[in-house]
Amino acid sequence: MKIPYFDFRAPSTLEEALSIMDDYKGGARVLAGGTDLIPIMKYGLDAPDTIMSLKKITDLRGIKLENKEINIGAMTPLADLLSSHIIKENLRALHQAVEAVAAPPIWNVATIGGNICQNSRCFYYNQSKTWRIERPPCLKAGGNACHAVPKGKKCFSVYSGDLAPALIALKSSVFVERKGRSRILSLQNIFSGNGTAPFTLEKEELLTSIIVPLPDKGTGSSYVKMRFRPSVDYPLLSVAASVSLDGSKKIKETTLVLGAVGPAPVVVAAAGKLLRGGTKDTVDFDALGEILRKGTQMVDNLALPGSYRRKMIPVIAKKAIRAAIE
Amino acid sequence: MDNLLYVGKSIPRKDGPAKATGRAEYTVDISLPGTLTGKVLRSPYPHARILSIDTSKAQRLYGVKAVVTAADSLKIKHGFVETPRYPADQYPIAVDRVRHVGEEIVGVAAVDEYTADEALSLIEIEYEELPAVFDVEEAMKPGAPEIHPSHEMVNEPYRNIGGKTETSWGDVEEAFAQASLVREDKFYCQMRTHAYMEPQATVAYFDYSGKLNVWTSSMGVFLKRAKLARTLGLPFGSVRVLKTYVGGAFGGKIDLFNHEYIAALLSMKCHQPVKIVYSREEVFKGSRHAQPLIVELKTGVAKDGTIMAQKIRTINDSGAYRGSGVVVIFLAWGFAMAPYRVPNMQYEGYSVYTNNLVHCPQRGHGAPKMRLAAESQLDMIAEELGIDPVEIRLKNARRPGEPLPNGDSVKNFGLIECINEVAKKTDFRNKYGAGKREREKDSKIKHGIGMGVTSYFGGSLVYPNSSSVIVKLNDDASVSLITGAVDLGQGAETVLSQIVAEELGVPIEDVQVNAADTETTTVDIGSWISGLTWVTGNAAKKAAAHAMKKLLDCAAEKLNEDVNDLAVRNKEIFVKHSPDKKITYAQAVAASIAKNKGDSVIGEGHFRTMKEEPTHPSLATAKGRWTENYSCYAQVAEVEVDTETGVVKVLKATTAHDCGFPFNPMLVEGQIDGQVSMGQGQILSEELRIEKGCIINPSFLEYKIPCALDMVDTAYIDVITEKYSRDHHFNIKEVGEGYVSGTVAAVANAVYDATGVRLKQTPFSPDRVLDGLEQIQKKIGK
Amino acid sequence: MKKSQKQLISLKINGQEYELAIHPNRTLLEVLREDLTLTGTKEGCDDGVCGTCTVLLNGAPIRSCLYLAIEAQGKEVTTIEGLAEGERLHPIQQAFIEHGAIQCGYCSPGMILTAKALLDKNPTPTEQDIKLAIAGNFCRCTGYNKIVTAIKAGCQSAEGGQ
Repeated sequence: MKIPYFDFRAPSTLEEALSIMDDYKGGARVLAGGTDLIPIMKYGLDAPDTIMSLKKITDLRGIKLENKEINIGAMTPLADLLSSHIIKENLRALHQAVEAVAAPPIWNVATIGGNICQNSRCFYYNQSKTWRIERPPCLKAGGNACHAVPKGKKCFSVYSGDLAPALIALKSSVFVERKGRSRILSLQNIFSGNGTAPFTLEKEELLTSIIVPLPDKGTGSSYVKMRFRPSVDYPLLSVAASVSLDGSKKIKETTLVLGAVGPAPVVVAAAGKLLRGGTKDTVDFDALGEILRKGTQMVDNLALPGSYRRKMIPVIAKKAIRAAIE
Repeated sequence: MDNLLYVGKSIPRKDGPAKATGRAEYTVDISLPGTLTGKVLRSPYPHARILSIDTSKAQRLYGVKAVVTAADSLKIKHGFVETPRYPADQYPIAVDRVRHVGEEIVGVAAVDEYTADEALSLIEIEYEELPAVFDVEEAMKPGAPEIHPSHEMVNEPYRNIGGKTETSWGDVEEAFAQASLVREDKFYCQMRTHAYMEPQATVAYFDYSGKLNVWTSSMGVFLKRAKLARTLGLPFGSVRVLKTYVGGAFGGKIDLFNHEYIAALLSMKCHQPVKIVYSREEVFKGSRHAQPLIVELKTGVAKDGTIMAQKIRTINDSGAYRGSGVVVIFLAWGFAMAPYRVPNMQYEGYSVYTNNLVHCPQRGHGAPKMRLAAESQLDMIAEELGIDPVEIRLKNARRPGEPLPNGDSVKNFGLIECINEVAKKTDFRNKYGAGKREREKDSKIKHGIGMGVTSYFGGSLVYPNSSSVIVKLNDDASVSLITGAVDLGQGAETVLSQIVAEELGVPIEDVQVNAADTETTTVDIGSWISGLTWVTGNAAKKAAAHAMKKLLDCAAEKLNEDVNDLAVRNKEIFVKHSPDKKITYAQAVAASIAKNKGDSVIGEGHFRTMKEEPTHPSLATAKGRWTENYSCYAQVAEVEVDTETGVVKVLKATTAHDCGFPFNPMLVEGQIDGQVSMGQGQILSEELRIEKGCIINPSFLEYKIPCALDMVDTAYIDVITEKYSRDHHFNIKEVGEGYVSGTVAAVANAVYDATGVRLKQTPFSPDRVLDGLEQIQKKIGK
Repeated sequence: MKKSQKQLISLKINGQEYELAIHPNRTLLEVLREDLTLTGTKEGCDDGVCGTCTVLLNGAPIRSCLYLAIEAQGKEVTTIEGLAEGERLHPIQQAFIEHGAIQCGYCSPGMILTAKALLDKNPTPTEQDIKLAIAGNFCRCTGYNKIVTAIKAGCQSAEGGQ
């Protein structure tokens, strides 16, 4: 499969990069590790005229702990995240999420920023041009049809990134910049919930770093991914949990995030109240299961049927919460 | 088998260094000056009439050197099977009708891939869509859209029957009436595919001397040559299929593929080399996959578990053309009756056309599906009768020398020993039932053990399966081994070298193999039908023995001794009772040449099984012998099932096998490991999903072959029933295909042991296992 | 079809410098195979899934079908052709041959390089470490058993060699 021709820009400073993005008004597609963008271009799902690689900007790489905040540059490769003691000791969910991404060779080029900003996926969307010629264009591809749900009116493509749910459970924020302006927002707010355009970021904006508050003592986190094979595959479902215990080992606070259930990671608001005061053995997982099952709409657009995946939500959530408590 | 230097030893493969250093040249690596990129335009519709094709814009595009359609073709059909009863049924390039998504309609050759892609987009075709049918049982119904007229031998009012096999012996109804227990079950086996790592690829170059040179990733060069020559209207001698390394095939690279024809046709038009390489997506969407099969099995047994009768019906989805569909329904009854004694049988098999892709053989060619059905059902019967699975298999297993209903004999059949050995090694009887015992407890993770038995055959006459080999002794007594055999990775060249080195008593490094070139090597059917070691091997043995005899005769003359008093060692021929009297091989070669006035020392050998049999067995009437070579295996799988998620893991697979004797133990183990992995994939995760004739998961991401973390712990037990000796031809049994079926059956039975879930549809994906568990819970809840 | 401008780049492959004029949309895999005729690196899926295109970038395994050649500038690329030294095979190559870890050989270049990267980083991997490291390299022939055996043996002989 051939990648369409494009003009290539490779700025060496962040300033230069933001300038380019401004000049092109979003027409310059950002290339981080390439593991998401390049297959997309090969499939003919996107054919930008200009690509801007961030690989030369060393300032965007690095993991720092200062002022009780862990600051991770967006271009930090996943392999660096894995070998970081800071992350392994303090941000267990993130460490586990990185280990769950694809297969080990991908970790050497994929970046945290790229993983967060990956496009949503669907069986029927992530196909090559020749395949898609055989049927009318789907909603995500700019058409009117949905092949996963006949006569469907909204896009059910699934956000399949592993890092975002874990980072959200860890209460992360992101630093987003454009020329002349920057802002911080909670990570979950970069997601629009709309399968055809999964992100709220403006075309000229660049996600430059991820800020994770150092978890308090007594807080544990975990990320559990359910996928078909033990490697390579995208998630069929994932759950990230961050749980803090009080002095008497009872649950004080919980953040529970579901991944791969729809176009954006889903924060389960009710989890906090339901789990408060419980312990590993007293938590009413069945009740939690009821809430989780109700809130999600999963269709047959991944390797296993939506009904199965929905059944698995409480199973995986239980694993994640239990692991976090430990 | 003592005193053998090479046969029976784990000799590292000869092409190892070439492959380990990246120097082995596969078809995709072939590069000739001026090679054009070839691409094929494929039908987007499952069933349509072609009303018009306009390639003018494509032809005018700068960089396009040739465009071909049926107008450039002789319109000679080809088929996997080409017999009077089942004549060739597919055009190598679509003429006026397409019958499956992906059928090839136009070929273009251009200076690069971008231009070729653009050329394809400029071709205008007018189609008239026709009603299509995708489900096999729907396609058989009267009133279904007609893809091809039903075969004339079919009297029933079924549509779209490409072929039928019927056979029977004894009286099944009588036997059922007398049976203690009769079970009827239906199994659905999914479409799986080979997923070889090297995609389909062909380079064709029609040069100015009128010779077509072809490099193509294939399992048999002579078969490809024959089909290419016929469809192109060229004499066989004008088509040369050259050797390339092959990156895996597993049955998927035998028949003529339309893109091979198209590459050749393009080259014939522009006289430049044309290279067509499938993208991985094209491999999944456009090449041939394995036969989905429905197996309806009715078995009647006596009180002690002895099989009394079987009534079997198989329905195969052959796709838009016959493909190998008529072969798989033929072989299926063989797979049913070979391992166990079945005194009364009634079998009918239908190969049905649908508007799906054409199907072809894949490792086992129906055996995995038939054995899944038979072994699952046998376990169910055993449970109902209160007999353990080992016992019921021992009762029914064929014994050495038993005659088979097709006129063959199982000869030295070690099945009883296989079953006993594998049961012993895995502690089967103690572990069996663990699942049931665990079920009482509350654990979420369950374990189970299951057994699967198979018999497979090799070197059969189902195709005219004969082989010729030439062994040339060079002046310095180094050896050239010339054979048409194709090494797909199974180690053909190594095994043949072992034989020749053994027979000639030369170091194996002195044997150079020249293989798989239709112009410079001898005829061989190729590496499918599981007969290479036995058929080509015996031909090689004869050729080497022939050359050896010439040397010995010459030495006898030179040394003035009786030829029976001579022995060989270290490339020297010496007199047994007076070892100092000797000559070197090189001297013997020279003497032979001198004596024969310049004729070099060449040995030739030919072999075919059952030379006295008049013909090959008939696919339709099922009459005729198959082979003298039946292997058998008993395999045990141990699984772990997570009852919360339905995920099944195969922890360990133990294989007791009678392959005669392991010719090269390391290679045999490699075959077992690979087939356990393929079996694991087939039963747990692999499924090519097709919707309205279109493959919807055409990638390695969505077609789930096992990765390294899925690796199964394997163990092997050799049951030796044959041996190699210098004096006559050796009997050995296949190792290339049979192990998949035992694995599939064993895992199915192990899942039942662990969970009580009996599935009759593969693959056993987690959602299906979970559904099964939920249904059991409901029943208990009742 | 609008084309881009070719760019002059310098690549270091197996210790040797190459200067090439290429379009930015060429992947490292394409450039290796087509422009440099280093056909030892294979294409299996062109999608980043199967691992047959694996090469080492500064010693770490990457999928060359997903990496733009232009971005490999300034980095050391190792392909399968760079492992053997003259007639001396790398211990891992030797181990693969001796232990039957090669059948059709198509996955072998990628698999061997991934194994080398593992052993360079971790000379005493457990079986689980090995399986994880090669989890992104598919093999259809061997079932992975003898590959794991070979890698275990490869680390012993590499140690012995030292």
